[in-house]
Amino acid sequence: MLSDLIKEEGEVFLLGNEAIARGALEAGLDLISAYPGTPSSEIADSLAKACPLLRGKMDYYMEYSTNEKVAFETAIGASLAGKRAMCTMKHVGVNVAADSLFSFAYVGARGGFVVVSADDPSMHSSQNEQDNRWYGKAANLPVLEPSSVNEAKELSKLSFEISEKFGLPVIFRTYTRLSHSSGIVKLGKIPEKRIEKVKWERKPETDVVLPAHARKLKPELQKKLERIKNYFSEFSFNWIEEGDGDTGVIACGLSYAYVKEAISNLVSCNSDFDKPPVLKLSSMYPIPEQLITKFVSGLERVVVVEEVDPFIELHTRALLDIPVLGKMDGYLPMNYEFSIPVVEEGLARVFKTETSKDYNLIRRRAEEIASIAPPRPPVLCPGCPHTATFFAIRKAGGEVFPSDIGCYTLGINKPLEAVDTTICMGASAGVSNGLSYFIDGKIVATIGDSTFFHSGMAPLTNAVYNNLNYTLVIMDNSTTGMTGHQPHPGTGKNPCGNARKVNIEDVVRGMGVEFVEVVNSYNVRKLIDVLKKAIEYEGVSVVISRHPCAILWTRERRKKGRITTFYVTEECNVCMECINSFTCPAITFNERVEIDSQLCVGCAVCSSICPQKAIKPLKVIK
Amino acid sequence: MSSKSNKAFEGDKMTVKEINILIAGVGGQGAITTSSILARAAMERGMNVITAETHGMAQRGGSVEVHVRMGDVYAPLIPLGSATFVVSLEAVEALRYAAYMTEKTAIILNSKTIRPRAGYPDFEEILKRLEGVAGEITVVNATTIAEKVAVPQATNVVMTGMLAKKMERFGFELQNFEDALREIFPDKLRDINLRALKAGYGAME
Repeated sequence: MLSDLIKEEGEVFLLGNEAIARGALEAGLDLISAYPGTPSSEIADSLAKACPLLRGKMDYYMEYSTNEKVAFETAIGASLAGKRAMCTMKHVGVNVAADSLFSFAYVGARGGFVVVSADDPSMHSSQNEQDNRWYGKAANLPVLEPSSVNEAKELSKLSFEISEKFGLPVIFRTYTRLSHSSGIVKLGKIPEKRIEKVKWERKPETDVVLPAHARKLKPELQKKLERIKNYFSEFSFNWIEEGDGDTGVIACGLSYAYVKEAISNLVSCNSDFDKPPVLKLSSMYPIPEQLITKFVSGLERVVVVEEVDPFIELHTRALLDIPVLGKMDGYLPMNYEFSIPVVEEGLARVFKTETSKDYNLIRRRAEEIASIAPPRPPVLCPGCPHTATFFAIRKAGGEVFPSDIGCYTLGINKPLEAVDTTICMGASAGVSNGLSYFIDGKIVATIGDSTFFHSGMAPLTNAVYNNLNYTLVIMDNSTTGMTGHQPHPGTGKNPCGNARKVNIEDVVRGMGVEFVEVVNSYNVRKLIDVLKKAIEYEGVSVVISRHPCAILWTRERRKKGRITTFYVTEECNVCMECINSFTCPAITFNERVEIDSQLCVGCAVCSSICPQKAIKPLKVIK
Repeated sequence: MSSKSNKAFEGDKMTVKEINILIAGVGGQGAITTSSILARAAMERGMNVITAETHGMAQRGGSVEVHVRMGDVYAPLIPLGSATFVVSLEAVEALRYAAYMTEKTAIILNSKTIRPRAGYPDFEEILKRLEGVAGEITVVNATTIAEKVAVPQATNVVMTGMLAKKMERFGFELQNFEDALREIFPDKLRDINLRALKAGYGAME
């Protein structure tokens, strides 16, 4: 909660992401830049909300950047000016920023620089399960990983100091289960601070990564890494807990929580099982070799518990000459997030003992019980302008549907089925480029407004340049919808400062696209007409289908107090067009078609597409 | 309201190392708000507490689960077969979380249904299946109570009130929940939600 986030002292209950934000505040952060993405969004969102409230006490700049690479580079600029900067993104966002990351490692941080990578084990809301600790290894940068919400706050704060102490950008790895967990946080002080402009100090020998410079900077980076490796062997967030037996457990990040409870369960149900020694690790890279070597002295084998890839396991195997167990030989699962039962089962295999419960039996029984529960997948909201746009695209004769990342990915579902590919941010236009060379069919690609600014502009320019033939529909709901309604250049809003609006149609025309039309998404008939022309047009055509996100639009009208909902009249001949071609969570069919007035937000699109004109407004005040 | 219980549940001890509460519902029903109230009530009692939420795409009208763990705990998710309480804001949603239930689990089930297009099972069948795995089930139309004393959107707070009554056996008092609620809600929503909380609490007496 915002009031807790900026509270002066005491113990408060914070979301993991808020805890990371609080840590940055306690470190006296000067700039936060971000592109939203689940599960990272609330870090920047909470700093956006806190920014105006802290003004005059603890000043900092906050920006939603156009994409993660831009966010990263904005933070580089702050660091080079000697200021403390954090940039936040989801794990795949680091791929977008990777070009900057690898080079900035050579340059090194001046003011504290922290990039937060929010990974998503089990892919709750992501396209892959990549483990971003590898970026630390690949780019020669330190990686930290907290084991609890309170520790997330502490480590976030400390990351800035570490960054400055060693002159290195720090990768702070969190993940869904930590970012979206809440816990009790002990607050430290938020320093009083104003931002002052500083003189630019030119240092081309480090800041210009010419080959001649880079060749010198690489060994310097390796020396820094060697120093930080020793520091991590003494790091207060890594520690050893004594225990019995010849097998030790290395518990990484949040897996420490699973290990603690799994061991406690095993002890409670097996009289001959003694608590093993545990090494808790929160520094993931470079590997604290001295600490690990000290931990295993006297042990005969060690098991590594970590989420996603066998990262510490691989490094520990290379370091030690005793057996190292973990994911690679099947003691723990290679995929998906861990839990107490998963870790308990893994440890039971290692220690050849029984789990406290028969978890497999529980899982099988639960599966049987749940078998009659109808699926309840996420759907596009009532009044969602994307539904109207997809409906129009199908009616206008689109045949091939590359799409992108956003709520509109749900257009994959019946009856719309207007999403054929989703790869990553911006790939709708990128993939369309290649498809247009070979596919015999009308290509209608869809991309959101925020995604367009993020990475749709370069592939669209490519289409103009190479004279390719497809239609790009920019679904402009004037927000970044799926991640919690963050602003972007097209909105002209900034949560804490001035902002200017960038018009999508001006951008598209400026790129050289000659067919550009803007249509209200709810005006379906016009949208179909325009889309037909766009599809027939030889060359790249752009249709901007524009209507505010239904959630924001409805919230706004509720404040004003008046929403007109719709109902189905006796004229309905159950042709099912509103259910089988169009679709809306508010429209149900049970012998007759009905509209749930609790769900209807009054967009009137169903009314406009009903062949019988059997859907009429019902004056209701909500 | 109806309530069925097994002996094993009644025989449960009053003192516990941990309390695990799973809140099930559909996106928009206020499962996260419920967990915020519970967490602050635990803090009022000086207990450690961790919650785990569902965000992002999964929220858009889909099934939502929130885990609340109190006491000597470290991990955010309730281990399988370890829920002390399951609060199901919608009837069929409880079925999806049978893996967390045991004969010691008490379920509070809202009989109000939200029917997805894929159909809906017979209500008696839902109850029968839950009875086979949980120790105690309290069925109540919390939405009707919410409509009567407040607004239907306060269904989650009514059910929090019901849980507050159940948690008295762990030393919790209604006051803890009222204080928590005052922290969470802005002034203009405070009274209406306090009414909902008390109505839920009263329904269990």
